[in-house]
Amino acid sequence: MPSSILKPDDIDQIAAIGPFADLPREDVEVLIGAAQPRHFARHSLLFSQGDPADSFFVILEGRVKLFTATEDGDENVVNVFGEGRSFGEAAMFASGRFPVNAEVVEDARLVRIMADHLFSHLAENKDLAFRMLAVMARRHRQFQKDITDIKSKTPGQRLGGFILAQTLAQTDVLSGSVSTSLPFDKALIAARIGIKPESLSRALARLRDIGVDCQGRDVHIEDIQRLREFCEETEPHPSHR
Amino acid sequence: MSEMGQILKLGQVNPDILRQVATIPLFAGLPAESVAELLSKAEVIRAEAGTRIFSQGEAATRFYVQLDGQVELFVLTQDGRESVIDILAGGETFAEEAIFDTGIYPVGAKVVSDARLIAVEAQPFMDRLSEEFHLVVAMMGGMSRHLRVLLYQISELKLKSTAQRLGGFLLSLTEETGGKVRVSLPYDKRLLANRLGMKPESLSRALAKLRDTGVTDKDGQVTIQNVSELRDYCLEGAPLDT
Repeated sequence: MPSSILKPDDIDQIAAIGPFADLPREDVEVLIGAAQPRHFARHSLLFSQGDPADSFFVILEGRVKLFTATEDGDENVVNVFGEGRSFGEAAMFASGRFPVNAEVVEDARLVRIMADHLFSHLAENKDLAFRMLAVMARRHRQFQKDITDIKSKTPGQRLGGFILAQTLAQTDVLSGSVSTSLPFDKALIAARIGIKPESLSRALARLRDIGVDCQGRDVHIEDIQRLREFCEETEPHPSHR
Repeated sequence: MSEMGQILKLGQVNPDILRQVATIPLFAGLPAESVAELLSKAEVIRAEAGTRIFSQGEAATRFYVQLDGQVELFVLTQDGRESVIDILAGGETFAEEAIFDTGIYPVGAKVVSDARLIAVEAQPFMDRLSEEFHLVVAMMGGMSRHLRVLLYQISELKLKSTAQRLGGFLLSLTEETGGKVRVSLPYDKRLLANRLGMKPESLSRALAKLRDTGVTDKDGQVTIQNVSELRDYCLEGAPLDT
């Protein structure tokens, strides 16, 4: 297994993953110690279910499959991870055993970070350990917020998405202004995209703000790119007032 | 600490509350007796709506476990308005970053509907963790596992929403409202991805995901086994209004 030198980009990538989330680069360099990236060929087994979790891995390139074996010897793939992801750290921090097998599915360049080194460094440098907990907590809150945001597309965004799909099916216009017509009346569309009739006028007003005007079945879009961006936006939590 | 709302002291952390706390990410990696030990001096309080728990910029002397109710985190804008950045609905910790890190509350916190909280004094908590460093490592374990679960949920949700968007587009290519239809894609996949605002690889993943609902594609021809099934899929999970 040939190894190579850790490039600055690699360190940035390692610094972006869960356990090190956004720690300063100097800290990350200290924590990973002498770890070097290594190339692993397809089908290399990285660890087996039940092995002591003495390390974790960061994927710089390639893909790794996590799987368990069923009683009759079939594989049950739990997850496939690619570039920029880590695996094994939860078991490692719990000082337990790996709950799955890990196998390379596409030639990969991986960094293996050893628990011994990491834990002894953290124990000597408790401030750093607490900072690490802080960044994990912060990231946790951010992820939870992301989930809420993704789930809560507004009625305006859902209606906008519907109009966008209709328009794309009817015209070849990629940017700028476009006029189109809706296949059904607005009440029926509201029912289809799951918004209540009484929210429809609010959704239409919101669309008007971004230059989408609906008159009966006729729709005029000032800037189709702007509509697309609007539908993609994740809006902040509505305030309680 | 309070501005308008009242704070009522309810006493110490009891076994019922400990069971509730055990599932919170910060404590999930710890053995039950360690959680009990860490929270042995903490106080359970009941804070009424309107209570200001701490202000942005204050020295962080405590962090909180929110058991129920609603707490709002906010920052002050330049013109002195409160801008809400998060609303916590219970089963979470807050301000722990401040005690682990800068020692200053980066945001303000206010109760928006009556809440039970555990107020944890920072100093004894941190001292205990420094003495028993394995607890810090175990906490990182619990947090990592939760982060992993959340990351998985996010990628599933994102995939689902791209698949739904693609599904909506496919539906717009047909007049049929039920049954099996075949439609031709009006553009090649690269252009289609671009127009639907997704990356080409997301389009491939979205197509693969739609296979579960009976949508198959071959050479630009897409077969929808059942139009109404696809429509149901595209509407699923869309929360009924905000």
